[in-house]
Amino acid sequence: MITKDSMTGGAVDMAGFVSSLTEAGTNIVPGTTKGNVPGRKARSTNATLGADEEAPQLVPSRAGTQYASAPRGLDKALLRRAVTILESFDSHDVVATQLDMDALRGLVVELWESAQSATQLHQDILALIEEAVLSVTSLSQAQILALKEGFRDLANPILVQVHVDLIRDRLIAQGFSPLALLSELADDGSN
Amino acid sequence: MAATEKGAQTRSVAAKVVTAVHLDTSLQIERCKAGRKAKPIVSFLRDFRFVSTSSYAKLEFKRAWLQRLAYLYSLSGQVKTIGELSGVLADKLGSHPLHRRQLSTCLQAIEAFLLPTNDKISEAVQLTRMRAHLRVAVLNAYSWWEASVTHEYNGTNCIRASERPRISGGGKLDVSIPKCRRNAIRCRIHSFLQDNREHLRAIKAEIDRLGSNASDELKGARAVLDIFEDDAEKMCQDDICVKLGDILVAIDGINIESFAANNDKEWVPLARALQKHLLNPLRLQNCESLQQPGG
Repeated sequence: MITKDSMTGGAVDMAGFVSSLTEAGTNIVPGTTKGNVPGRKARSTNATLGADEEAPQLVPSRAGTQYASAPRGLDKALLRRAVTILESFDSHDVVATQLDMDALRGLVVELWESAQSATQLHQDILALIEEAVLSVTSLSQAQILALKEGFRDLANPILVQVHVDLIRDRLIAQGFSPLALLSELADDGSN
Repeated sequence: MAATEKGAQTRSVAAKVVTAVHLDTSLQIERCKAGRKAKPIVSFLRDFRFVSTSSYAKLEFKRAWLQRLAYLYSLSGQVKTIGELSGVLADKLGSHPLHRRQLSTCLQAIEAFLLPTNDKISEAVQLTRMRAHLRVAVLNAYSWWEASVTHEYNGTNCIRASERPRISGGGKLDVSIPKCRRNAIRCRIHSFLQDNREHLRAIKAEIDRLGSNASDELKGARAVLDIFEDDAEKMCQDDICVKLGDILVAIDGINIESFAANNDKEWVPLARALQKHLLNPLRLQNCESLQQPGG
């Protein structure tokens, strides 16, 4: 599905979108009008390309293959800023660490505005990253690398479930918990 | 000075002896929390070479936490704002005393999600964010759990614990725990308990010794153990086995030299009955007599 956004520098890159899906194993099905690609809203018109309702659409060729592209991507400027902060992160400087952590937390919260219209997979990675940055006061080098990878994945308009699983595994391996944000819950392990 | 040296010596001896520890659900739940709360347990466990837990502890974790979070996720799909969600929750759970705990957990979860945003984002985005966090927490909890221990004992072969949370058709979270019945036995709990009769006798004797001082949970378990003596297969029923929770977790780790738990009312008697060290890193944070590897 080629959209106006993709042609005007929006979040969905046309070439990347088509090639990635093709590599992932897709079929061209003529006459499909909407809803073929999970996580993408159907667009009724595409004036730029002159596409109509009968235009070929991309659908997954393998049942159960979960993938999605962002109808609108996450705010690229914020993502770049987050990676820049991580690249210059200095855990030896107490003041700089505090400021960088505050900046990262703020950026992640801001990213939710653009994540609102992104795919569920983008939202899941953002949630994993947020769990991580909210649960610590500083970051090790290995944690920084894992988070950078997460932010870079968020800039990718097309994500598959494997992206989420890999980031999750990396963050868990670095001591983060996907349940960290629930810390304020009562200590209730009972039935 | 002399006291310090003696303490150091004690820790050194303990370091040689205690290299493996078996964790109860209570500590696993504490471990998955954010840095500040998990830190005492993380540093306590750092020097153990072998950290185990039980699949039955995972079932309790699933029931106590993951199901409530999944319920919150389900309700949050029916509203437009978090404010509206709190109202729906109160309507559904608030009027029934039995649901008070679930309501409390859900409201605390909402508060936990809202705190870091500090009203910086719109109400609709807050709801999206909360739903993403709930989804991620529930779907990835098992991965975290499995990575958090060296080994998970599964003496009961509990099928209900082994079923991972998943996204079902229509994007719903499936954290269901099927019912078990003795006419459709799918676990090994009865044979597991039969193999450990000797340990069960020791536990019963300890509960009897405590008498009225035993916790309500242990008293309930004591009654179930009497049923077991009469008919072992009665244990293969979910509303029966649930009453043996801590006992099943403890016996699952019977080969481990030390237990670690945060609910002393049940675990002090269990450790005594099974002749294990009991370590509570949260209670002993400020206690000099803590015996753990590396001190």
